[in-house]
Amino acid sequence: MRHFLHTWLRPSLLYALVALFVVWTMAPVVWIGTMSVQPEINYVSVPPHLSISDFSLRWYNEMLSEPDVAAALRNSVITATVTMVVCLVFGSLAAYTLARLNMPRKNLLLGISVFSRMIPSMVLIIPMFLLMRAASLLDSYASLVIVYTAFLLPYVIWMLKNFFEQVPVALESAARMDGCTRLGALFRVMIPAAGPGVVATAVFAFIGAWNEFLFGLILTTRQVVPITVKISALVSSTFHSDTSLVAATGMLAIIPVVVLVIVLNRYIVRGLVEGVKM
Amino acid sequence: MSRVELRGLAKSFGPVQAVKDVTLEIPDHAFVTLLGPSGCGKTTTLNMLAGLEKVTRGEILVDGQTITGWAPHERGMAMVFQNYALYPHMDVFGNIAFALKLQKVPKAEIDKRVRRVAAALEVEKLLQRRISQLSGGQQQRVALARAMVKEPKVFLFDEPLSNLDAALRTRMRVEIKRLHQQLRATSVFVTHDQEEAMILSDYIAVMRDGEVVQYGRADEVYRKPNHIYVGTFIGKPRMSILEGRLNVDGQTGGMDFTADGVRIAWAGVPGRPARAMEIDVSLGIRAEDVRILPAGADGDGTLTGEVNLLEPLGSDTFVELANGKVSITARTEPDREIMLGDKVLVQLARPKLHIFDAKTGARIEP
Repeated sequence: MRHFLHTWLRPSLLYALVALFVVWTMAPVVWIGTMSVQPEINYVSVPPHLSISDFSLRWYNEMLSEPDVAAALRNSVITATVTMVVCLVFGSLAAYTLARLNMPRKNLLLGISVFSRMIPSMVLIIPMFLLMRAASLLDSYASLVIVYTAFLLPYVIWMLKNFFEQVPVALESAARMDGCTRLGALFRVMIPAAGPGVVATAVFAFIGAWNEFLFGLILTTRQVVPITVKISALVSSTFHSDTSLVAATGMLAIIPVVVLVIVLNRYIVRGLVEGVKM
Repeated sequence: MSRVELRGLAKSFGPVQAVKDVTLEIPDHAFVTLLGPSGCGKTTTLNMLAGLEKVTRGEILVDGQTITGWAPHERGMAMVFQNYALYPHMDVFGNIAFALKLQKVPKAEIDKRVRRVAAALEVEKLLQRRISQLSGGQQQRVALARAMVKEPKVFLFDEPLSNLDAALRTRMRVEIKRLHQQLRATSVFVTHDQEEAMILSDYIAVMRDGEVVQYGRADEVYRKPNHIYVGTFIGKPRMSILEGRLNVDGQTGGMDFTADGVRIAWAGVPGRPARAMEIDVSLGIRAEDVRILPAGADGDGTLTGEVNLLEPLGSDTFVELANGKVSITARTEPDREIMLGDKVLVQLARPKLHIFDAKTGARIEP
């Protein structure tokens, strides 16, 4: 009985739970994916009438040829990439300090920075808007990058600090003996040695910036509208009454992130599950 | 090749004084070991020498030049670390070549030098391998190669053998010794293993609580420990210590030791006066200096004990004898027929005795 429980029942239950979770999280995505390649009439009818013969990519074509959507995608790619780079540069410097240097009250500082993220974004909308307007940065990449970095940096620092702490101190000492300065040792040895962790953090920062909606809505008007805001505008606009078009745009917004995760999957899993292995 | 001097070196981490006052002169070509238990400040001393830790007080000189504030790579030193500290994101070649690349050495020369040391350490076939594909012994060789390729004036070793299994440790120990004999580079080695220290070193600095207790030639530290701490730390098996009272006759130099009802006497020589004293001492003697006498023999400094433990090593057998609370370990040839429970007569030869003050632990010469 025990044997049955251990070798068969327990793993099966576990798999069943995982499968349930996957269905739960993936179902909406699959549904949007389906909607994006079928005429609206097929899935609004009850029961839905999906057919292979009706499969078409014309909604994608239509959206991509729409200059606004292409621009929004480009805006999101630029903003998320720049935010990711800025987060990594400042994050690694701060994380290194917290992980390695002797500094009074460094844990308090980390605590404050992470705690700052407990404040709901809603509360900060008005001050952020006023600040950006005062700095004449409204509707600019800079405004989005600054705000996204401010929000993501505490997490990035916290993640990187944990990864850096797993790199043996001797590795850095060896680099310094070999001719690196402290900063040189950080960039030439620590960051590459913590590679999978750094990649996981970078992906986290990219996705965080990519998915952001609220500040994108408030701080942009025409020039740098991100894809998240564009989709919401499409949904509520009367101009595009075709739901398949909205679904295709949604899929377009998901695809870059999915590709990124698939390409870097190996590192992300190693970074998040195993940490930095020495 | 260089002469290294540490003058009054001290290091504090906040209120903790890790190194208190270390003064050492390391002659050119010498292999010096900093020996002590963990937490005695030996690694901190090495790190200060390397430039990895800032010096709180004191001075470091190489060939008469002060280098106390210099950056690690400016000191012309190379270090081999406990966990090898090889760069995991580079292959073996990249690891060995890293320092030379930073020095902007021309590519052709880097290639030549890397291949030369790789050949010397028998890792030339591994140059394209990743670090994770190497065994512990191979990693150790690569770490040595990485240090050697810089052609440093001084080699620093931070417990480089402690992660290896016993067989490999013995082999690498020999290799480090051979390497030193070839290169004759001044070397500073840190370890807690006294056997390693004895085998490798020309000089040993025995450390405790951030201070050097004794610094001298390895044989001298072994033969003439200046403190009971040194005497018992160095040597395997541990030096036997008998706590008791010693009486030295000022006229003849005759000595009389009593402890727990045990009495050991050494006859004096009339007309050869000594420093008269009556003092509580810790009397130390090494196993190889305890002679087992045939039953009924007579002699100076003899004591009878009952065998309560036998440790046959093959080449030697260590015999532990007890008489009351007094316990002594003696070394004998393995073919000597001694059984548990036997009463054995042993002689503690006077010149081989180490007499330490029971209060201070310092060596006393009567």
